[in-house]
Amino acid sequence: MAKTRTIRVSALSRVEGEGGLLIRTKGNAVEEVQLHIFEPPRLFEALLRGRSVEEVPDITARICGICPVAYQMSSVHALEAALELTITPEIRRLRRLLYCGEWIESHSLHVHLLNAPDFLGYESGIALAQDHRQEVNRGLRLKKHGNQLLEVLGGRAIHPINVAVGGFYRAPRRDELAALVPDFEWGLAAAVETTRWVAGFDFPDFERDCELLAVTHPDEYAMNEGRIASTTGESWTAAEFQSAFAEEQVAHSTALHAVRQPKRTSYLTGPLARVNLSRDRLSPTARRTADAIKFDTPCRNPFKAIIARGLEVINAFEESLEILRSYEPPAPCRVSGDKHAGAGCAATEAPRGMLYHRYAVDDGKVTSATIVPPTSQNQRQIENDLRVYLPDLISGDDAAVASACERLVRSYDPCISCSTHFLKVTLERG
Amino acid sequence: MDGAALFVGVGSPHGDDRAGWLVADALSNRARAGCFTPPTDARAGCRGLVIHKASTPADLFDWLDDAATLIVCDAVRGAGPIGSLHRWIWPDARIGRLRASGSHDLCLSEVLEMAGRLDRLPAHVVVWGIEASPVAPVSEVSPEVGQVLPVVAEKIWSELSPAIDI
Repeated sequence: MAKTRTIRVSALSRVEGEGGLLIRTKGNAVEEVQLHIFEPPRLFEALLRGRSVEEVPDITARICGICPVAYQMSSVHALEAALELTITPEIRRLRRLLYCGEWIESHSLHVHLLNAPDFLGYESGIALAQDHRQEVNRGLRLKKHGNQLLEVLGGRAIHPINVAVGGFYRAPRRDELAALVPDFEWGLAAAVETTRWVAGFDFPDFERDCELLAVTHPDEYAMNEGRIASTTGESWTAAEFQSAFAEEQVAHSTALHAVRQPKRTSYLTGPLARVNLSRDRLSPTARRTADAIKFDTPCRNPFKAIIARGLEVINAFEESLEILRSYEPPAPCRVSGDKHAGAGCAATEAPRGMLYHRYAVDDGKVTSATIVPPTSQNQRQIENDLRVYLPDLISGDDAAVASACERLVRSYDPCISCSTHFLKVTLERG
Repeated sequence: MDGAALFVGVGSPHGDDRAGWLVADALSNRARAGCFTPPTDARAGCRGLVIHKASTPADLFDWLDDAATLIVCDAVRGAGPIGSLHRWIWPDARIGRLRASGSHDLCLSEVLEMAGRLDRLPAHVVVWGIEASPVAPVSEVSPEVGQVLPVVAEKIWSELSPAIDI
């Protein structure tokens, strides 16, 4: 009779937040894979009820220190929909610039320090630094320039404070943004080098048959607005999100699992989905680089998300440069309206994937809030991918299996703190 | 000496986590009062002394390259009673055992270790830790920490003085 084998990865390293992974096998069969998220729920949706609309972007920014802008963007767009506020094109552009800063800092950290060590056989970014100084220094500097953009536009790099419903509390001066141009010219060239570097890594042959979802826009590489599109050809407005998707509670996770309706199937959001769905809307240099490195789409190999991140860093630097060079401070930098009752929602693209917010407001206060973070949406797909990935690994010893699984989980750049925080892996063999 | 003496106070506007910034302010005031070149922005130039305030230890990467010696001051938790002072010479395993305040970025020991691997760390690195009480947002420093700030600033100034030829 086949024995049960349990493998536990008690602390998944190089991911944002805390969680665990349980793998149970019987013989060569995978019986159970559970991405455990055991952090207590953070209860932001309840915390927002009764708070003034103006407080929401600063409260939601606290959900994540790496992608606070995403939470601010989804919240302000949703609240503006509820209040029927229309922002000016200049404010919209400045918001894209702020989002570029966040994509740059988040992706640069993940590509160079969290994920690259997996492909080059190092246990950490620190270990990688010894032998790959040029690349690690480049990654640190790329991240720094992303942070600079957040500081100038958001007031500070972590949990920015300048985003308001209707725009910004203060628009940066022209000279403040113009001063960033030389560093961003360097950044564009450096991002191309990084993308070429990671494209040369040895990738596991792991093409998945999964649904990819991202916000798309006909005229631009979507960040703040557009339809939610699927590789199935379907698409939805943000207002249709709650009918097309559902959130389910599972016993092993304090984060809800998002699934597609009506069949409750898993799907993947994030940079790989975005590049697949909007490759033709990447910036010219990003498109040229994708062609030059022969990044073929469709691509559903989660390990290759590191290449998609590289392309998005190029895109973000190129778009930032265009805005930095032509920037005129918006006047006014914030639009306002009356505080009537209403409800509104928005989906924007956080570095890790689609982020949906919905708010109902009355008399300037939030009466209900719904937040669906990207990692909640990717959890079930991660478990499904592990189930498919495991049979080829299972003959290895527990440490090797756990390490390979951690590597796959890291490729999604999960932000467990966002979805509720660290991963422990348990493998039960039989 | 070839490079500047670099002091970095790591902190935030929150309670005892202000400690690193307040020590940086005290040293900047001391540098201004003592002589020399007026400071500009966050940088106080004084015969090769550079003072910065950092929000996160990873900010050190921006300033390390010109430094001949580095002193870092940060609030710490888990190394003694509130208001106690600690002085460690890098490398010291105790720095790595301090409680990290979050998982959003590299902690101080990771930054110092990585800087070392990248050959960007000065030969002499000192870390001053001030034991902090639990932090409340945008609060003032606790009386225990407030009391030791002038002491630690004086000790660091004395330590820096030979290095910057005051």
